[in-house]
Amino acid sequence: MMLSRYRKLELICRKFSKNHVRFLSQPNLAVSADNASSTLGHETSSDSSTKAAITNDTIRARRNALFSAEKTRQIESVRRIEKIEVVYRGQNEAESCTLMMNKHLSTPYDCTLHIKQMIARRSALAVVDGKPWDMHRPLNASCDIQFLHFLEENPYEANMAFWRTGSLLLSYVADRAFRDDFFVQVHSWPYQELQPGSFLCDVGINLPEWTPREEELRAMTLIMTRLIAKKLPIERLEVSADLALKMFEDNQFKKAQIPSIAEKSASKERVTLYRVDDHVEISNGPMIANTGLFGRHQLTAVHPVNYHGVGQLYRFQGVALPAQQPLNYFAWNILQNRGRQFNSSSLSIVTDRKTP
Amino acid sequence: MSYDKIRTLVPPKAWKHIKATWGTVPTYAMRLEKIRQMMTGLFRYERIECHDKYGLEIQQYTELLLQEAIKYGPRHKPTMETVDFYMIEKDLVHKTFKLFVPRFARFEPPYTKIHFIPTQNREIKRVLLELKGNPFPPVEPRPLDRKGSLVNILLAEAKRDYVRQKVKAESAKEESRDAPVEEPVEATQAKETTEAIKEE
Repeated sequence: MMLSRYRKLELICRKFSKNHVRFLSQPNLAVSADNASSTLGHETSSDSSTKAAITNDTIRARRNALFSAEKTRQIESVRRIEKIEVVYRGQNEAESCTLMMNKHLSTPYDCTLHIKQMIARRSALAVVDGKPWDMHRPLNASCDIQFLHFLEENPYEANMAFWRTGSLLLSYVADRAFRDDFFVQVHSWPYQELQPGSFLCDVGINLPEWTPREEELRAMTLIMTRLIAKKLPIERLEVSADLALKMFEDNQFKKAQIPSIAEKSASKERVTLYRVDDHVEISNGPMIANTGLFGRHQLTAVHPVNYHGVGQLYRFQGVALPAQQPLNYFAWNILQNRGRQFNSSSLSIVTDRKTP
Repeated sequence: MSYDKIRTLVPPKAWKHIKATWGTVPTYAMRLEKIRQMMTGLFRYERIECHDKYGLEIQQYTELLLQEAIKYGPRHKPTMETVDFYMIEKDLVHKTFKLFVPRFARFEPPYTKIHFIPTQNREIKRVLLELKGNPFPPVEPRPLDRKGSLVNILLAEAKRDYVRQKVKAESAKEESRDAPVEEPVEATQAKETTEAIKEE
């Protein structure tokens, strides 16, 4: 019998984990908290009774439904279909072409489908009139377009988008890795550089003390692996601040952040949302086209942090590489071990901002 | 060795093949004639496409000819004779000494480059043989600078970290050596730092 690669991994993990770690075959019960709760010596059932009505699942489903409804509303609001000219400049004359696309409906990804399958498959990010643009964001006017991938001479924009998307996937994992006893509220991720060697996401969980074991990290990585295997597109949507507040009303951190985020935007009242699978997150973006562009990946560490002035948070850290760049396991282990170190990126900047 | 004697030595099937490649009379003189033709073509056009067995052989002859021409120059009699023999068209003798010799004095050998080119039939291998520094556009694309790729950035940073830690550890060791034995406080501090580095 042929076992799929992930099924095999799961079986191997289960063999070594002695039933402490539960996997996604039981939905949304990836990481058991038996270890954490037993070490703390408090009962988790008391927590679950108070949060019985609102669980992470219900919140996620509600947010997803609101996102879908808003997306269909925005698409349906385009009553009259207008045409725009999209000029694609390829590597040579033969590749270049001009496309007639639909205003406010067609995305750069739709353009790639008219050009070449290979470009559609590998493009991580589009450049529209010199500005980075998401692959699944509708075009607003006639423009010049180019497509970026990770094997170019200087793929700075694509790399940054990839790192940002890594953070998005971490928030996705954190949101569904825990049992319903634990209420998960994703805080945010700061502006990050590639140099620290890991992308990160700060998450608030009502777990006072928790250091994840190796098996738990592996189980959480498996959630990421499954998502990447699905090759799901990462959708972008601009919504009003009111709707964003309604979506994130259960998340105390986001509720505080949304007004300031909306102020910083160009129109002073819009918030940019990203959705992967059914998980919605706030970010300025841009993000890469789909999760299938991820190659090697690992959720390397979870460290407690306490600097936002909102109590203790957990900093999820991960490392990943594009599927276009396969890497030898020895070199990958070096990167992985480096990713385990605490990533203090933009800690100082945030504290400076908070002091006045 | 006469033609008839060769005929007796070679089995009939191979004979067909030899005839096809070297012409009707496969003597050494005929083979040399072919090499002369091909080399004349190479020196004339600076880039030729041919079967791999010719290409690989002519490459060796060309290298030797150019080496000798650069080493001895046109006034050396044997060299001049050799060049004169291989160049069927005599204007190429001037081209060899006036154009190729100054050009290849700048290069390090090898002076030629060979590229295998794709063919529809896999059994037939064709090559592109060229003299370096020719005026045509390059066959191979320009190699990209991969410093900015994600893997290389991460690995470069990891390397920098490793070197930094090593230097730190060495300096800590030296400090602990230099520290006098009478002051145990500093020594313990140094130990602590080394331990901390190890833990990291």
